[in-house]
Amino acid sequence: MTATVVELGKLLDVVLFALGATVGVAILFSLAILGVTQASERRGQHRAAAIAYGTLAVVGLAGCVAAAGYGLVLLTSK
Amino acid sequence: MEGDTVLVVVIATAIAFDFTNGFHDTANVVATAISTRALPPRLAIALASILNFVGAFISLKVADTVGKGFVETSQVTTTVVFAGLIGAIAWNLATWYFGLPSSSSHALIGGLVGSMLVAHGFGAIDGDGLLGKLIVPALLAPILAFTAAAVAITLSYRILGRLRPGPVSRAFRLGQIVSGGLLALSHGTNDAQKTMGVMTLALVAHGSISAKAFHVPSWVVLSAASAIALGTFTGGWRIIRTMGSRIIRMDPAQGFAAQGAGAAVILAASGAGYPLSTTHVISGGIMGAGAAKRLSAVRWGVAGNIAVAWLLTLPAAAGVGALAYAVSRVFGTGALGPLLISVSLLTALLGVFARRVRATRSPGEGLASTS
Repeated sequence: MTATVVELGKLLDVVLFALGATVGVAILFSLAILGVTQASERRGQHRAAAIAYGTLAVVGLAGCVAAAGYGLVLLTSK
Repeated sequence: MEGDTVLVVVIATAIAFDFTNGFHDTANVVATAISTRALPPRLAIALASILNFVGAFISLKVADTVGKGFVETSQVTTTVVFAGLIGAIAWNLATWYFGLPSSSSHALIGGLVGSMLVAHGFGAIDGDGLLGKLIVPALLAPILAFTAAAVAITLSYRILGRLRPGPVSRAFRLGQIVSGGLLALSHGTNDAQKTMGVMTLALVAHGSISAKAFHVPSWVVLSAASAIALGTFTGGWRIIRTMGSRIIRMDPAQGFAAQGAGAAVILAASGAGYPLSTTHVISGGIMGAGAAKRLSAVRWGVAGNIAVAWLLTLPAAAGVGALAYAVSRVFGTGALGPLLISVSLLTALLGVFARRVRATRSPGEGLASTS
């Protein structure tokens, strides 16, 4: 009875979207911060490591922007 | 003619409710960004009001749910909608007066259900809709925000734990501008739509819109968006203080996690058409971000007071809504009852507001102390 009153599939979508978006963006943003700080610290001595961390920062930030944009597009297109 | 007068009173009351919603609720949206100094208070509030306005245009699913999901639309009268709004406004103002962040959304639906009960009895209430579209999501949302924020901040600390705190905090403050912006946008999306739903319900009751062709007119969207944005800009400083520092003192990473969790939960729920309480969600996010670091960092006493206000919201607003309907009917079915109640509420409101303004101007209080 409760399962039919409560649309479980719809609620599960909300839970998965919210958890996935929050945790995903937090990880990506943290990796971006890690990338930026480490890249600037290693710029002088370890060029390869600096480039790798710089790439990590760019990927992390791009991921955050993409996730936020995708969420908004999903919301407006429904 | 008299029906038109009641409709005008109802629409004006709905816009007033939307204003108090912005005034009362949006403080929750900016509190974390202000308390971690990601944004200065006035800029945070200006940004939040602009994004609330924009957010109101994103989706209309929640307006549909509020308009059709909880009460028998064909039995709604303009006086029922009016009394429901009075219940919500009275509860909003009472919790604002005491600085408690309770839910404007639940106050609105509680008020509507209370007045509908007195007007038409239990048969006019959609119990399944209340349970499935309001109560279950309302219980789930703060737990979801709590969990999401707790997991997010734990992983962030794991990734960044060995770095110097200065640059990390600066980066999270920048991130908070974006996550706070998304939270404000999501607030506009979910909260402004509730008023749109109620205004449309009044138009259906008046006969301007057919119940079968339920749709939200553009002027309703525009006026609800403007009212919530203006309410936000006016600001609810008392609640900002409760949310921003009295539940927990946050660092920028925690603020980012709390705001991100709040925005994600509200946007996801708005997409599904669930009218959530932004207050519940952001409170859950703040507590989750705090508890993940240290359980004792959360001031559980304050959190408990907020929880009590949550529990009381539906029945209290329903009670006032029911009373407002009964008083209104004493004066018949015309415009006299709603007009008298509106004038009485406005007089009481001005008195309370004047008293509050005098209190905040006393030494040691006021806006400066919140920034």
